[in-house]
Amino acid sequence: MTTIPTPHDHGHHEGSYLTPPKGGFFAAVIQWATTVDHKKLGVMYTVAVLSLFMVGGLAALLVRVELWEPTRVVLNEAGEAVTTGQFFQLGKTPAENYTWYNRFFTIHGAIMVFLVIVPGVPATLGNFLLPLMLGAKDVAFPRLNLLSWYIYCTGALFAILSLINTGVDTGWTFYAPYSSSHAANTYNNVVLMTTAAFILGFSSILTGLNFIVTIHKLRCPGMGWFDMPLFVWAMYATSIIQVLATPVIGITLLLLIFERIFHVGIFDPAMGGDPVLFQHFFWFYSHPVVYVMILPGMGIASEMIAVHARKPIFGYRAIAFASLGIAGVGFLVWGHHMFTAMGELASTIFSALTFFVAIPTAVKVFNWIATLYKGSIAFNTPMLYALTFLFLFSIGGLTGLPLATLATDMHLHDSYFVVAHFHYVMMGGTIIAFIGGLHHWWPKITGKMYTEWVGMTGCIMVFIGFNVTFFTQFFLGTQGMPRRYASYIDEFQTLHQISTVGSMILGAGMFVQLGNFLHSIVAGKKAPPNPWGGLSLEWYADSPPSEHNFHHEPILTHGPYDYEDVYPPHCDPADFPLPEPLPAGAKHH
Amino acid sequence: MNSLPLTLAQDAGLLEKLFFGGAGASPLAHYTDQVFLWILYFCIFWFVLLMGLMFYWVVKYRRRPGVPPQRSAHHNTRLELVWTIVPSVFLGAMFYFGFQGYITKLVSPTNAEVIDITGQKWDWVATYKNGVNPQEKVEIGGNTSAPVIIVPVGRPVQFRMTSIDVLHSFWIPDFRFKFDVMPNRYTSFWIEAEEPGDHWIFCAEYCGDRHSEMSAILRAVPADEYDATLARWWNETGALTPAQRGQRIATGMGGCIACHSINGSPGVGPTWKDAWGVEVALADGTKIPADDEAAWMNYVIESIRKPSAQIHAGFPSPSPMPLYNFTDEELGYLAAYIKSLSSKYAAPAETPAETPAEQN
Repeated sequence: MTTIPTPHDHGHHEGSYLTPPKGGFFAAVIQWATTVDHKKLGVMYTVAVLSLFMVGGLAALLVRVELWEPTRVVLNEAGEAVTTGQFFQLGKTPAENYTWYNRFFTIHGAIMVFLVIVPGVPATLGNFLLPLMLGAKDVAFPRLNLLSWYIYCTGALFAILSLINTGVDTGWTFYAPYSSSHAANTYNNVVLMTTAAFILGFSSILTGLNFIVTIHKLRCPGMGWFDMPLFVWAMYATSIIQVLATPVIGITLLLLIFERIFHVGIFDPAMGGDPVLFQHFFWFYSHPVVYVMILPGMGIASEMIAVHARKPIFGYRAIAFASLGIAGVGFLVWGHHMFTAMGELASTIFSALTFFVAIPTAVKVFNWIATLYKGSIAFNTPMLYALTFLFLFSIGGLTGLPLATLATDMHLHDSYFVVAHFHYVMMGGTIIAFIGGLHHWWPKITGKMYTEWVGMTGCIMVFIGFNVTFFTQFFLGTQGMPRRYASYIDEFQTLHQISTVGSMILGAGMFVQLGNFLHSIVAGKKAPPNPWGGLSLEWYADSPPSEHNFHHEPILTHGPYDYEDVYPPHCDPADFPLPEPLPAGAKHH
Repeated sequence: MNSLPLTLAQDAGLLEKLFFGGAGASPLAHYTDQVFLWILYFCIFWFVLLMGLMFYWVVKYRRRPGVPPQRSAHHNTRLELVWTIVPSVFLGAMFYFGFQGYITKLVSPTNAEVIDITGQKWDWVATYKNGVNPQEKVEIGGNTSAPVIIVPVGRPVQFRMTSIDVLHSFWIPDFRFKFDVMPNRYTSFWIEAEEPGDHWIFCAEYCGDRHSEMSAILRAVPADEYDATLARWWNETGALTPAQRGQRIATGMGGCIACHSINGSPGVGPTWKDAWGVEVALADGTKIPADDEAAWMNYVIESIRKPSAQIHAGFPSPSPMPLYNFTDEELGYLAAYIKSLSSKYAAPAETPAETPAEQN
C-alpha cells in the first residue's frame, strides 16, 4: 500500500485546480469557459444543476400552495365564473388558475427530470470523481466533455426560452395527441421544450460514451474491474443505458415536433396516427432512464456507507452485477407505465418482467444494510444522508410492488400513490443520495469543510419534511385523488394541507443545506485530503486536487473497501485503528 | 367470481378504511383491497426488518475512538441466495393474484349491460343500450356540475369507451378500476355494483386545462328503477324535434357550445346565434350566399366533417376543431339546431333536456 505516492512525497507543490490563473477575473472566466478539466466541468455542472434544482423546487412549492384548498367556483354579479375564498391561486379566474397550475407542474417535472436528475449525478459528481477514482488524469475525451457541457447549456437555454414564452402545459411526459395537436403552442413553446429535451439527449449520450471509454481504458495500473469503487460500476451501468436509450427519445421528440409543425399524422388519430404509439416510444426511453436516475444514487450510497461504516461492501460483486442486471432488465419493463392503455397479453408480460427488476434492487438494499454489521459507524451528515437514503428508497421500492401488481395498479395508476412512489424513488433515492454525496465529497471538491451540525440539522429537516409531504400522498392516492389536478373534492383537503406543510419544511431544509454550502465556501475550515478515512483513489489526491489530479500515476495495491486491512492515506493511524491482522494463510470470505 | 382464490372481506377493516376510506363497492373491489393489504403486510414486514437491523447496528456499532471495525464475512453465498429466492417467491404470488384480479375485471361476462362512454374535453357522456344519452347533470358545489351515469345494482355493466379528442382515463375509485379512453379506439372494462349509491368518477389521464373538473357521478340504482329510467328517457326523447335533438348533441356529447356560442358572444369558433342564412366571407375569398338553404346545408355539414376545408374569415387555420364521427342523421339534427338559433327563421328550441333531471 505504501507504493501509492501521496502528493507530499516530492516536496514540490502544484497549484490546485481551483487556483485562479494570472491575469485577473477575465482570464479566470476564459479559463473556466474553455477548460477541458473534468473537475472544473464537474463544478460548473454542479452550479447549473443546483440552480435549476432550485427553480424546479420553487415551482413544486407553488404547486403545493395552490393545492392548499380546492378551487371553489362561484358566479359574480356579471355572471362570470370566479374563485372564492381561496388562500392562494395562480390566476384571477378559475380558468387562469388551472392554466398556470398546469404550467407549473410541467415546469417542475420537466426541469427536475431533464435538467436535474437525469444529467445530475453523472455530470456533476461523476465528472469530478470518475477519473480520480480510476487514478486517471482526466476522462478519455476531455474536449468531448466540454462539448457535452455546452450542449447541456444550449438545451437548458431552450427550456428556459420555452418557460419565458408562457410555459408548456403538457406535463413532462408530453403525451400525444394532447401535446401534438391540442396544447396551446404560443410562440412555439411546446416545440421549444421538446427541442430542449432533444438537445439535452446529446449531452447525455456524449457523457455516457466518454465514461464508458474512460472506465475501459483509463483504469490505473493494478486496477481490475472488480477493484473499481461501486460508484464507478454505477456510472458504467448508467452510461450504457444513456448511450443505448437516449436516441429513442431523440427520435420520438423529433416526430412530435414534425407532427406539431407539419401535421404529419403519427400520434394523433385525427390525422391517422396511433393514440398509444407515443407512450410506447416515450417509455421505451424513459423507463430505462429511471435507472439512469437511480443507479448513480445507489453508487453514491455504496461509497458513503462503506467509508463511514469502515467496512467492505457486503457482496461487492452482487451489487456490481445487480447494477448491470438492472440496466439490462430495465429495458424490458417500459410497458408498466401503460397497464391502463394496453391489451391483456402485453400487460401481463410487462407485469411479470417488472417483478424481475425488483429483485436486484432488493438485493442491493440487503447488501447495504449487511455492510453495517460489525462496522465502525460514524455519525455525520453523509452517513445521515446514507441512512435517509436507505429509509426512503426502501419505501419507494416497496410501494412499487402494488404498482407492478396488475389488479392493484388498475386502481393506483395515475393517482397520487404513483406521485408519492416516484418521489420516494427519485427524490428520496437519487436527490437524497446526491445531496449526501455533495457533503461527502465537498471537502475534496472545494477544499473546505462544511459545518457538521448545520448539515445534520438540514438533513433531519429534509427527512421530516419529505415524509410529511409524500407519505400523506400514498393515502390520497389510494382514496382516489388523481395526478395533475389543480382542484379536488373537499374530502381530500386535510391530507393535501398536511402535504403542503411538509413541503414547506422540506424546502426550508434545502435552504439550510444551501446556506451551509455557501458559508463553507466563504468561511469554511480548510479540508484535509482525507477527512473520512476513505481508501478509494480520490482520497489520495489533494483537497482540492491538483491540476492533473495525482503527482504520479497511482499504482493500485488494495481494493477500494479494504477497511479491515489498510490504513487510510493522509490519516493518523490512531484515528482509524485496524482489527487484528488475519493469521498468515487465512483468506477473506 | 368463484374463480378468485381469495376470501373476500365483507366489512372494511381498519387498514382498508385508512387507505381507501371505506370498503370497495363491488366483490372485485374487495378482492383488490385484499391483494393490496397482503402486499402491504409483506412490505411492512420487510421494512420493519430492514430498518430495525439498520438502526440496531448503527447504534450498536457506532464509532468509538480507538475501536476498530470487527472482521466479518465479505459475502455469504448461502445467505445471498436465500434473500434472493425467498422474496422472489412472494413476488411470484403477487404477480399471480394481480393477474387474476386484473383479467377478471377486464374481461366482462357476455350478458353484461353495455354502456357507451364518450370522453371529451372536459366531460363524460353515457349512451345507454337503447340509444338514449340523457346527459343529466347534478350540482357538485359552486358553479360546477357533473354528469350522472346510472348503472343497475346486481347486474354486470360493461363500459365501452372512446374519446373524441385526447387521451382520458375513466377511473371509478370505489370500484378500484380505471382504463384509458382514447380517440379512434375502443377500450372496455366491467363492474357490478352491490348496493345503490353514488360514486365518483374522475379523469385520470391529463387532458388539458380543466382536467381536474372532468368528474362524473356513477349512480347505482335498483335494476327495476334502472330499466324504468331508460324507458322514460326513451319516451321523452322520442318526442323531440330535429332541432331539439341537435341541441342535445351540441350541448352534450358533441360539446360544440364550448367553442361556438349560442348567444352571440365570441368564441374559438363562429357563434351560431343568428348565423344561419347570413352571408359569410371565407378565408379564401369566396362567400357563402345569404338565404341559400342548399348552400348553407353544404357549408355547415362539410365544416363539421372537415373543419379545415372552409375557414370562416378571421378564424384560425387549420381549424382547431376535433373530428367527429356524426351520422348523417345527427348532422341533420345539428343543422336544424343551428338554423333554429337564427331569429330570421325560427324561435330558439325548447329545452327538453331539463325534464328528466327534474323528475329524477
